[in-house]
This record gives sequence, structure tokens and C-alpha cells, in this order.
Amino acid sequence: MLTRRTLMQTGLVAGASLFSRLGFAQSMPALDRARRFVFFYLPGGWDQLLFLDPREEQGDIARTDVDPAYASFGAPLGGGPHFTGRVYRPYATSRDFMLGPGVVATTGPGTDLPVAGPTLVSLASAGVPMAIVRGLNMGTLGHEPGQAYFLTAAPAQGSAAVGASIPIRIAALLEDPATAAQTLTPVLSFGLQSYTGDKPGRLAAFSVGSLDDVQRLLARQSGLVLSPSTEASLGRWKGRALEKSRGLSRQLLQSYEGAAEMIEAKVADRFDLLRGTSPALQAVRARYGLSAQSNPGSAEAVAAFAAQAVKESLAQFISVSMPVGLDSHGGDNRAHAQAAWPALRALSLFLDDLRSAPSALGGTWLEHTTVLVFSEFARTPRFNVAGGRDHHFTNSCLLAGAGVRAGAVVGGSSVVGMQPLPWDFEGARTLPADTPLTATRRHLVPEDIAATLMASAGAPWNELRTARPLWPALTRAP
Amino acid sequence: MSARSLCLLLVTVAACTEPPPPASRRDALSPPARAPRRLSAAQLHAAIEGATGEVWRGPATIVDPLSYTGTRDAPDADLLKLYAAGLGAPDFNYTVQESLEPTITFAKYAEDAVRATCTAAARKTPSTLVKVSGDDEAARRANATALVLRFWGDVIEPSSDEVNGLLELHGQGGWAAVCVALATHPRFLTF
Repeated sequence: MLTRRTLMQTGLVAGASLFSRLGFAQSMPALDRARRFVFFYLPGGWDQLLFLDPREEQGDIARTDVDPAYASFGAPLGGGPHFTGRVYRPYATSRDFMLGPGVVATTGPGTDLPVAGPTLVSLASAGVPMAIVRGLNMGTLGHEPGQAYFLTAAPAQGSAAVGASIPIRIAALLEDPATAAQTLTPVLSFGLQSYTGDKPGRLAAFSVGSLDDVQRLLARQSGLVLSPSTEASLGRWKGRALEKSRGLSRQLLQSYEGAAEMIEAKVADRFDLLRGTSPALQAVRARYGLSAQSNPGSAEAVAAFAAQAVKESLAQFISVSMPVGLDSHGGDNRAHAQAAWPALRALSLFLDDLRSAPSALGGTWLEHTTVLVFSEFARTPRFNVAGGRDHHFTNSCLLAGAGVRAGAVVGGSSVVGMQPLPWDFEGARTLPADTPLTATRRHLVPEDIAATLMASAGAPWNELRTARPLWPALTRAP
Repeated sequence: MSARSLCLLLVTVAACTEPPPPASRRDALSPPARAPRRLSAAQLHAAIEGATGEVWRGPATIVDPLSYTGTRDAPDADLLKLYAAGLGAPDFNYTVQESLEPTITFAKYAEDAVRATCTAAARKTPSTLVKVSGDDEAARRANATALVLRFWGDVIEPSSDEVNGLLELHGQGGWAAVCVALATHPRFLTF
């Protein structure tokens, strides 16, 4: 039977009056095969009161069971040089778009002055397209199932991921050898698990765990390079073998060609972020505050690598795990904010970098890159006996860049207990907590985020079955 | 069992056994050949060590649960084992199924391993890559043929085009180059 949903998923939405009630005032964006995607994962579970789902007022904690404790920043507990101001409050850049006090660090003890450089607040105020999805029901309080759920848009079986990772799913949808994005490899995963599932092996992630891994894969150590005449003979030998080959043998020999091209292109030099001498790399180090002595596993180095991978077209889909640990069951607001700050600062530098970097596709790279920032779940709205917050399933995520409607906020959590509120997909609004759940009035889940990413690039999302894109509330036509 | 009973049994079995189908029908009933497969990470490791007698080793930071930081610097880490995940091996934590795709990552690591081990094998005295020693062409052809048998499991004529190509490589880079050519060929990496 032809349903509205079927029509939507087969891309026949343009001009169809059936959709007026759904709020589909705009037509679906055209398929954007060159769209880049970057996925930032913050491991450990983040406190939404501090970041993406803050409260305006302290409120009646006994009634609401929500304790923002923003005033506790000034207390002498918690470590680190930042977040030592007197009283912190959320930052509102528009009526709806509000970020928690943990997204901007202060310059030092006793001051409320924000640190120098871009922050999520300054970027949002400057019009960088950023949107928040709140009230995501993760349905799990386990780290591995939560991570797997967000990575694959399918609830994990126990701790095991089900199906392919979202980058690989979208890569399969956008793949077209004739018009595909001219990147060295389709999918790159930095320190993060990637699942190929039933998708083609050519989309399997180019997996690296460190900047050293990147160098090792993109270059050949001098001791392994043969004489030029031997290399030439070896090239002829492989060329003759390629002429006679087919099937898997041909794929293997083509992979050798790909590896050889990667080495010959001297791409590795462009990713020697800490030691490279080119003016471009010196500019990268200056922007991210890096030097030859910097920790190659720092958040700034990882973010700089992700930006470089976009700008140098290393991959179309880039997933990075930020080197932070947010699983703080003890410690106060300040300790948690301090733990997340390196990642949030690096993310701000990344967005600022892409919005000023001219793209080979025209405009800036941020105009061609969609960014998703997520963690596996959130933290409880009240403190535990150790003064920290435990795992809470009402999560949020941040989208930025291409296809994202600036300042959009979708979903929400309840005033009492921070429970996920149902979302009305037809009316594009948050509903009261006691609303009976239906197919179109239900909690938001990670599948909806994946569907939104697919829809924003004009790709069908029907393989996600019950998922619905948050279109057009969250995204806009490119 | 008496001889008579045995004969009766044999006659019964022979009577009940269908005669083999003619060759053409037999061919039609044969299952199609299995598609070739890429070596797994462990198979690649064993195949390279078996063919060259060498293991690709080098300095690296490796996981060591007994160390304070969980890792330690090793001067001679087994690099193919270290990069097994890049070759497609599962970690049995998040993944349990090995990826056998012919990816660029696999090609890069496999060729690096082959170059390192072939060079080391050629430098040994006597070299493990020299089965038939001698400076004359006949000896070189015989050695190339022996290496093809070792690396590919194929018996080929010493005067074949493949051996001619290998001798051209030998002229440029010695037996190390021949070793690299043989071990990066799909005949070595698939089965």
C-alpha cells in the first residue's frame, strides 16, 4: 500500500500536497553525494544540565528532582584551572537555543571571563548552523550498548552492535563511483569502533587509533622502499598481473594500486600535524595550539586531524573518539565540566576551522560538512551520595554544519525528573510527558538522528524502518 | 562372517549401487567451485613466516595490562599482530567476525610486512630465498621455479613467462624483489 511514509522514503515528496499536514513546506534536498560527515564521540556519558539541556533556574529541587547546582562552580572542590568563577548560568543565543554553563570555561580563579578563542556560544552567536536534539531516549544505561546504539542506530543485542555503522550506511546510500566525493577512502574511523555489517567491504572503515597510525598507513618507512629501478620493475610485474586478473584477485591488485597512489601522493606529509614544516601545517598548529611537543592523543590534535581529513579529502565520513573520560560518578559539576572542556574546546576550534576554510566544492568546508556530536547517554539530574551523577537515559546531541537549521531545538526533557518528552512528528512540537505514545507521537531515539542525517543529504532512510527524520524542524535545504 | 556371506553382501551392494553417471552428467552435478578467499590476518602472518622464515618486527607501543599505564614500548613488536585489526581481524570485544575484504589498509600492511621480511630473508647467509644456488641462468631459473612452488604451490616451467618476469626482477633487486613480487601476488594472498 502506498502510504505517505512510503512516498517520503522514495523521494516523491516534492510537490505532494499530502505532506502539507506534516509541515513539509520545503521539498527534499537533492542528493548530495559529496556531503562530508564528521561524528564526534565523547565517551563516558555527559551531563546534559551542563551542556545541551540546561535549566534556566535552580527551581524547586524537592519538587522537580533536578539539581543543576550551577552555583557549585564557585565551591573549592573539583580540579583544574577552569570553571572557577563565582556563579555560572546557561547561555541563551536565541529564545530556544540554550547551552549549559559547561560549554565555556573561564580564564582563571575568581573570574567569570570566558577563555579566549571560539566557543560553542560564540560560534552560535556568530550564526554557525547548530541545532540541538533533546529528550533522546537511549533505552540503556550501559556504556557499550549505548555507544553501539548511537553508532548503528539499532539497539544493541546485549553489548554487541547490530548492523552497520551510520557512516557506512550513509556511504552506501551516497555511493556512486561516477559522482562520488573524491576522497582517498570513503570511511575513516579514529579510535572508534566501526561496523561494516552487510554493506560492501569497500566501505569498511580505514581504521586508525592514533596519529602515528595515520603516518604508518599513509607513508612507507624508508627501510621498506626498494631502489627506483626495482620499484619500477615491481610496478610492471603488478601491472601485467592486473591485466590478467578478475574478481577478488583484481580487487586485491587494485588495492595495491590505491596504496601506492596514497604513498606517491605524499598525503602523509599533510597529516604530520605536530612536525610538518609546510605553512599550512604551521597554521593548523597555531589554530589548535599545538607544537612538536604536544600530546598526539590530545583533544586538540584529534580535532585538528579530523579537520585536516576533511580539508585534504582523506575521507568522506570521519568518526573520531575524543580523548576524554566523562564517566564521573564522583566529583562535582566543575570536575565534570573540566573533564569535558578539552573536547568542547577542540570541537569549537574544529567548527571555526571548517567555517573559514575554503572548500574545493565551493564556499567553506562547513557548508559541505555535517557534524554530529554525541555521547552514549547522559547523567542523572540529582547527585549521588558521592557527590557525582550516575547514568541517565535522557540524552541530547548536537548537530552542526551543512543542512542544519541554525538555532533549531527539537525535543525536550520534563521539568520533573528530566524524563524524555514525546515528540509530535506531525506538529513538530514537544508534547506533555503523559501523552499516550503512538507511531507519530513518541520519544526521540538515535534512529531518528540517523534518519535526519540521511535526509539532510537527500538520501532515503527507509532501511531504518520506524525512524523518522526531524525534517524540516532541524535541517534545511542546502 | 563366512566367505559365502561376504560374497552375497558384496553382490547385494554392487547390485544396489548406481553406476557412475557419464562424464558430462557428472560435470553438471558437480557443485560450482568455491569463490576464492583472502587470507585472514593470522593466515597472512603464518604464510609470510612459512615462506620467508621471517616475522615483521619493529619498535612500537603495545598493550600490556601488567604495566602501570596499560601500554609499554617494545623494541621488537610483532607488527602484523599489532596491526591485525587493520587487516580485518576481530577484537572479540566489539566484533567477532573477521573482515576479509581486499581493502587498501590490508594491501598496505601486507606489502610492508612482505617487504620487511623478504629483505631480511635475502640478507641472511645463507639466504632462505636461495634453494638452488649458482650464478648461471639455469640455476637462477631453477631457484625462481622453486620459489614459485614455495609461495604459490604451483609447479611451472623454468622457461615460462612468469619465470622470465621474475628473472627481470632478480636483475633489478635480487631475490628480495622476487620474494616481494611473489608474496604480494593474489596467488599468495588468496586460496
